[in-house]
Amino acid sequence: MATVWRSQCAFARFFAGKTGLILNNTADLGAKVRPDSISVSKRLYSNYGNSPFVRRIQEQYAYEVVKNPPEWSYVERLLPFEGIPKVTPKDCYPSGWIPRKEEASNLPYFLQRTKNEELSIYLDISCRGMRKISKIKKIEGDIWLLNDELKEYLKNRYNRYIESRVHELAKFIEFKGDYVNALKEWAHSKGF
Amino acid sequence: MGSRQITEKSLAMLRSLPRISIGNLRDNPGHKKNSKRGRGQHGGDKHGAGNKGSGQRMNYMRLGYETGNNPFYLRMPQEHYYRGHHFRRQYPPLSLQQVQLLIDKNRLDISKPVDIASIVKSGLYNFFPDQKHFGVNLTDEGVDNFAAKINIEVQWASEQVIAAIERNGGVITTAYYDPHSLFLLKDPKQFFENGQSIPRRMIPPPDAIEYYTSAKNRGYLADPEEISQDRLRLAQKYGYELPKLENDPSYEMLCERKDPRQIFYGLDPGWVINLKDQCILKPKDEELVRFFAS
Amino acid sequence: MNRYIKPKLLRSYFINTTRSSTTAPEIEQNEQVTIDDTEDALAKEAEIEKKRNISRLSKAHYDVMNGRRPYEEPKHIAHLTVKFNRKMYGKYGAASGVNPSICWPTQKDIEEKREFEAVAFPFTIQEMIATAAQKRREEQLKIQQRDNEIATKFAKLEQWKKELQEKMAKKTAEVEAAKIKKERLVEEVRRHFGFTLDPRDERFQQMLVKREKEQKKREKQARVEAREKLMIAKLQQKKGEVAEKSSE
Repeated sequence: MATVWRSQCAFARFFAGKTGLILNNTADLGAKVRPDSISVSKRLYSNYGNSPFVRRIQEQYAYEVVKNPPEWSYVERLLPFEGIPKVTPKDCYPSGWIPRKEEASNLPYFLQRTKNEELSIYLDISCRGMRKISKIKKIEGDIWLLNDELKEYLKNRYNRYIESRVHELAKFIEFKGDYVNALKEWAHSKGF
Repeated sequence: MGSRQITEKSLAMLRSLPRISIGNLRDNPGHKKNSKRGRGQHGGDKHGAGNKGSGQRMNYMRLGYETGNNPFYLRMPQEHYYRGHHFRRQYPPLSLQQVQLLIDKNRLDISKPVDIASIVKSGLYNFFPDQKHFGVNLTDEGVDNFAAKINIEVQWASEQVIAAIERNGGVITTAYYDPHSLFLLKDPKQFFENGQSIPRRMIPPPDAIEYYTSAKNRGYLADPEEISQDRLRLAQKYGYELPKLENDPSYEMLCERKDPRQIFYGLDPGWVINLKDQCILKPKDEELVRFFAS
Repeated sequence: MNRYIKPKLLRSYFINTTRSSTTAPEIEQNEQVTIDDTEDALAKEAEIEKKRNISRLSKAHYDVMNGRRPYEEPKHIAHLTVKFNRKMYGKYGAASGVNPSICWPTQKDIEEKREFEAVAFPFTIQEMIATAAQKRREEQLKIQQRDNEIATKFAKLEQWKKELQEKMAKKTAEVEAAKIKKERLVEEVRRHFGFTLDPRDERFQQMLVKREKEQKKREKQARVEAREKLMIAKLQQKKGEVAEKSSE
């Protein structure tokens, strides 16, 4: 993080003058720094090189060690999850997210959901926006059957033949055009 | 002292010496420089122009030219549309739709107050304080479908967003965090493992103080009275019944707010948190206590 | 031989790759063995432990994997710094053997921080609010003043337009009048001469000058007469008023 910040200040560093160091908060907040207080900002960067030795420190502070403190719940709240939390079933989802249904596992094909419990249907745009391809990934089972069904579904819906590409090994089907919403609707209707 | 004697001496000299005339004046040394004549051993032959090259031939390259390689003054491109971008604060957006999605998928615990640390912990939002990102900007995408009672603290919110959250019985606050505090909030685990004491949060800079002290934006430094008045105003403007917070069972949770110098909920500045031993070290030294309470 | 080593391999594999590895599994192994306090037995145990550890990790890495501090003795200048020791305390707790006093800033650090904040944040919140409010008020005032200025000027706009037009008309009228006068004089002189004479000729010019003078005299006379008439009229008016008053 610090390196990114420093590389972005490359030119500023070039013209920084005698100290050659960029001051963190002051640059953010536009405050002026007196020349004699430059020594303060030199230590703002936490490198091992700028950190003093433990031998030199004479301060011995009185402190209180609180084991199993009552505020520990606040600390635990800040720590990251160990795994993605499971979704508790609710009556309705105001965001419009539709969960997986049990009946989906009975079909000859299966559309696996992503880690974040989302459908794996994407729109790839290339050639300066001229080429749009709807890609359904993570297909298990009979992919050719699924391909036929989807083609029929899209043909009925859009009154035209829509070309598709089936990649058995990589487990995806690509449709030529932007039919992501239609495919998502179909997937939801099947319970995936 | 010395200069006085000098002046007196010089005045005495002036009085004693004869009158100044052309005969007793002369210029300072170095006034005359003998010009080089372009003939003879010293001025002739190449006439001070050296041998060959652009010095003799007077066909200099333009200033800045580096004999073909990309010159320094052309290496760094400039696009004026981003002039001064590094002086401006940026708030990467997070839509209400995304927040609702996080709540639906159980990634955001709405039984506790939500701040930027919890949003980052949920895993679907990221921001980079070193790139001038100063926090979360809650946008109004999905404002109609939002239905969750939360106590949320962001860095920027528009009026519609505030109205949407308050309509559902929630509380929204806008608070300022300086970049150092943002680094801490982004990765609290790494901060605790560094073994440092929790620092104080800094006050907003002068150009942000208006935003964070106005009740209209639900600033954390604003007057609570004005905020409650503004809640009413918004309810009237957007046409919903203002829910009574006092009657709410989770009233305490909704009212929980951070001190302007506090970075994490429930943890005061000056404490050292140790994850391995699961203990908190609280300083007792007067100086330290005073410093962290200032 | 292979089959004999395999279960041990598996166990050590698990020991070295658990994320939150502690010394618990190692203790498990020793549970069944009776603890012998004699030096020989201890030495033997240490040797067995060494042989068990086939991870080929360095001592430091092995300790880190088992949640212990990597280096007890400082091996690098960085190990003597406050930053490193704070990290050791943060990661390994009290077992790291670090005095937690270093986790807090020293007096010098506190002073420096205070100085920095005094320079970086020179204004208090109230001051900042006041200056911001002041700025807004000034802006508003400026806008208002400009508006008022423009409003007053706007009111006079029609009148200015009229004045300007009158001025222009007057100027053109003057120019026209002068031109006409000149033309008339020229005509008169031409008529006087009878034959076609170049206007730029000397005689013509002399005649023109004479005629101009005469014209001026006549105009002056006319003005004087007009003034006299005005005076007479005024006197008569006054007489009339006096007569009225006296009659009353």
